[in-house]
Amino acid sequence: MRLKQVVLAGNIIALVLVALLLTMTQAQAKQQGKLKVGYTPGGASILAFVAQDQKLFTKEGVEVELVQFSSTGDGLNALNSGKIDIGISFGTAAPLTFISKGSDFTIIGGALAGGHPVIALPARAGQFKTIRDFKGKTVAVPRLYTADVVWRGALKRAGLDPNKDLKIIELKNPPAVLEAVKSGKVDVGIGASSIFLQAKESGLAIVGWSNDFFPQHPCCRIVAKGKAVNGAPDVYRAFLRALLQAEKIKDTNPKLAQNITKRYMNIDDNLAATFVSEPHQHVSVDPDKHRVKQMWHELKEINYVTSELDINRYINTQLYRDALGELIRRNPKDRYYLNAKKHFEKQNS
Amino acid sequence: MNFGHVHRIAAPSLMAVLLLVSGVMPCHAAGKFFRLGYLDHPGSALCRVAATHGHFREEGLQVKLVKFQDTASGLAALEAGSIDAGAFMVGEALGQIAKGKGFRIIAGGGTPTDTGPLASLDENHQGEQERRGIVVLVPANRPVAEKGSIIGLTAALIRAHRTLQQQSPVVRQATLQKLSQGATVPNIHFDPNPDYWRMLRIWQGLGLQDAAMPGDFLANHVYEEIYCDALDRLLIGPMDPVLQELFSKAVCTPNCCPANSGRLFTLQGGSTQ
Repeated sequence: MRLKQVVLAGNIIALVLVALLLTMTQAQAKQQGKLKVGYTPGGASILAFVAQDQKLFTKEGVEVELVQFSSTGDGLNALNSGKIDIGISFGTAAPLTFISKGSDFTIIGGALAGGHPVIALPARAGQFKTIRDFKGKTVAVPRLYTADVVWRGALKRAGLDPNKDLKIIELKNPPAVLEAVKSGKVDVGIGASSIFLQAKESGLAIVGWSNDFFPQHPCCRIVAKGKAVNGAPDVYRAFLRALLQAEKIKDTNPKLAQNITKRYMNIDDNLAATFVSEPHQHVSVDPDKHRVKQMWHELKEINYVTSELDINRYINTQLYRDALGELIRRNPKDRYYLNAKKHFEKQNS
Repeated sequence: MNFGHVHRIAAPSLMAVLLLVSGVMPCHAAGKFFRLGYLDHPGSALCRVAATHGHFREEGLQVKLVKFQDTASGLAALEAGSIDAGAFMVGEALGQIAKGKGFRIIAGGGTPTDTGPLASLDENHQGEQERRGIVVLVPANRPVAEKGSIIGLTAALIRAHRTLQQQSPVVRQATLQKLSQGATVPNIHFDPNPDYWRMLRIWQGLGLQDAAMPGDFLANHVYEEIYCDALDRLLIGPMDPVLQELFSKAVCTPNCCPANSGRLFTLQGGSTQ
């Protein structure tokens, strides 16, 4: 009887100890792995929504608080001042501009690539087959938006002088471009993903995509503070692991991703479907160093960025590589992750 | 009709007018003047044109101009809080920022220019002239709630720039002459853009970057978002060649992927002051 009591007491103590250890470990993980993640509501934030909704961040031991911003500038300023730890949908040109001005930003992953439509009235749609067809035309652009940067880069590569060979009307945002095209004041407009549905509903023709000018050009990159990343790489790796799993869910179960996007962004089915399934908008966590470098080069070409910095120092591909490696170690036969590895090697080596 | 009856009838209307005015002009309603210091220098003309042409009022601001004879005393007043913003010489202002004073540059002003045949060859002289240009500064610790007033102030300065640009050279010279009360007015190039890259050039020319400073020390003291937001606000409406010209030179952070391509810099969100 006494032996039974001793064994029982021992078991209880052991259980209490295990429970205590588990609680401490969880508390420690929570303390170590807490990230405030800034986003703007759009296609580049889908993976964060999926990861949060499916508790993938928690699974990877990182507690994520999503902080919504209404503009890229506000989000990047918050990152710069330490109010948030990561920005996931603040563009590519914008963080590169901050870097050019000395900010300690590091690009650690990707979010969205491509996806900006070129729009025209249906009667003029047939005139635009290649970049050279813009010669002699009046073109509305949203100044310094990703699509504008990408298009100007393509003009330069095609040997067209933006000051002589065509007339560019610089407008302050994509909706202004949409209005200019609808009114017939310009021949064609360089749009943005945000006006894609409106353009279609207005009866305008989609005569091309920014992807045609610069295939899979970066649109939004995941950016963090360099010092913070170096100080706690495990937390950022865990964050990327969660996003990679969300990327797989989006690919294999787009309906679920669409439903989550709809709920998180409070939008209708149609818009949610566009964000998740539009084939020109490529969602990927891969940092894609090569294309970021090309974007940097093009920003300098159009005098948006003035800098002699070595941009390689501001792109951290190691975290993503390690995050992906860990997922492959856990799932050695997973074709999605193996394929992602192939892409990584091609886009970042 | 007795007075009480009139009072009963008029009271709701009067209340409505008061409410309307308070909504349109918050500074009036609060009875609070925005105190704008300026250097007695031709480069400060945008501040004075904004006052004389009613551009501050157009932005819902009631501004009291405070004249200073030198930049040092103006910056001291700005630091002490006896003025809310100030238009002072950029070289000295950057020197104070390098020493740790919490100022942020929100707009540009007038810079003296030499039009002589050898002017462009003398880099030292050019650098000296740039440093004598005017910038508008605010204290870095202003509450976020006042961001709207600062945007309004910058928008009024942009409007003043447009007013000067729309005048013929002769009329413009007369306007500036009148402001300087008869003193000789040098050639001045006006630009309301705070222009980080110009600030950096002056900063480097003065050798102000200390090894211990973070790389973005200066960037954190040049508040271009305010200028972009002010410009963005004014660009709503018919195309204006002067504003389009300013817009074509502004480096405003573009939005990449938002679902609703709204205003670039709203007053909410996580913006830093």
